[in-house]
Amino acid sequence: MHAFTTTTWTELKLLIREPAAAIFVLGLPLLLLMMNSTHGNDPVPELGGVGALDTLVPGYLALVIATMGLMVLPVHLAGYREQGVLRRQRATPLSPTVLLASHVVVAMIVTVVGVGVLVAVGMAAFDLNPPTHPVWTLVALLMSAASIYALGFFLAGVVRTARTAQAVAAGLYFPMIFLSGATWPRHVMSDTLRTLGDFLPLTYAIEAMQHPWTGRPIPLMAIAFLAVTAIVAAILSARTFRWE
Amino acid sequence: MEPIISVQGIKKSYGATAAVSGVSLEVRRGEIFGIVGPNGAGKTTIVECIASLRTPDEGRIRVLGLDPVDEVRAVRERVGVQLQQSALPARLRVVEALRLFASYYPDPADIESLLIDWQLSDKRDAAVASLSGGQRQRLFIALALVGTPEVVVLDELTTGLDPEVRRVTWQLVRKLRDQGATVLLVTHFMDEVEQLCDRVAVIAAGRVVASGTPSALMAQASQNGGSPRSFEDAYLTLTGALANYA
Repeated sequence: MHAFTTTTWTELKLLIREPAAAIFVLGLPLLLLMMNSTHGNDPVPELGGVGALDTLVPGYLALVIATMGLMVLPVHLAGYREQGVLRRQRATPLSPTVLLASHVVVAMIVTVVGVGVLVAVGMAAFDLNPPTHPVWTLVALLMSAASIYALGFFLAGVVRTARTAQAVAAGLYFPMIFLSGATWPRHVMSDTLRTLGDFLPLTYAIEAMQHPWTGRPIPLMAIAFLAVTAIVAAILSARTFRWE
Repeated sequence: MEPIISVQGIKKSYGATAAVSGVSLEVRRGEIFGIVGPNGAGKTTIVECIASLRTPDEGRIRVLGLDPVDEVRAVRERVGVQLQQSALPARLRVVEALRLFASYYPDPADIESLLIDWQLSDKRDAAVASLSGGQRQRLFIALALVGTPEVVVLDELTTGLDPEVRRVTWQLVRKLRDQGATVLLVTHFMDEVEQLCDRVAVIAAGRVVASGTPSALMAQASQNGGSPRSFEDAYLTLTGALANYA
């Protein structure tokens, strides 16, 4: 336990000393929030009487998760491996599970802060409504984070260099944020693009958060899909993660 | 008396390359045991297997009666390592690194004493990236000791250190031995072997070509037709290295 708390606290301190990653995670969603809030948050008939912003913000939360889980985390871990940091830690009694868990917790903390800031700004400045079903929204948020981070860990475990991690991550991240509805809504996409989006975990993350936020029925299938993705990716990571 | 480290017939290949082709050696409790040899001889692979960082393809290793393959955690709790290719996060501070690693061990050493012993006290709040080569080396040695290990593996301990610092480091290694630790020292410095090692194994091409006390190896080399005036002469004779350049 002492090893876990010390490792987590140390990683947090290191993150604060190099805030570029955290700023990246928060910057784009905030920018999108400010750009798209000009429409206001009055009920829109095409969205079933829900405000535009209420529909969009879950997408921005997914963006925070995707940025942290696919762009920041894999590159960070692959960098540690490439430099020999993981190798040195492996020569100690530190359990690999504890090490990975502490990276997950730090990622979660950054995500929660990012989500918190986004929602606070949205509510204070742009008339964002709080979620209709906050508990389910939170469950969906955690499930989304779990599935995307597990994918990120899997990616981090199998690439050799930080540069490769960055390239592969970008190859996953950009299609995902465009096709899932995180950056612009799916209902304006063509059928082909929408079908492609149906295969992406992030699409289900957005659906899982959006429905409880806007008072629509809880999408249990989406949440189940996220849970399965998280479990499968976690098992694969545990099997394939390389320390050097 | 049971040797504290027993290595029997280990072999390890990386793909088609055989790095270690059948190495056996024994290290006694409380000695400073050297492992010398040319680059690529397999020295680092051998000590990594002992320290539970690599699994040999064949052979048997016991460290303090424990199996590094099956009892990984127990071995790592008792064996401290200072490795060549390892690193710390650039912005981590010296004292933070020591506290972090101390948290991994059940019986950690006193951080303040480590800082003093390895002359890192005035660098305690310095970031790892800002340290000089010698300071980095001393930090990695201190990290090897943070778990109060019974066995300490040092790989290229004094490479890159100034002569005065090398002398001080040797004294500290002797102090480790006096405090009861057993030291496994991988080195290519012959003067280090002469000054520090109670016994030494000479490794070439993945095999042990000679082992014993430095003076015994010098005697062995003179029997083989050399006239060694130093351990270095003996080493070159025993590994036949000079023949390659004759």
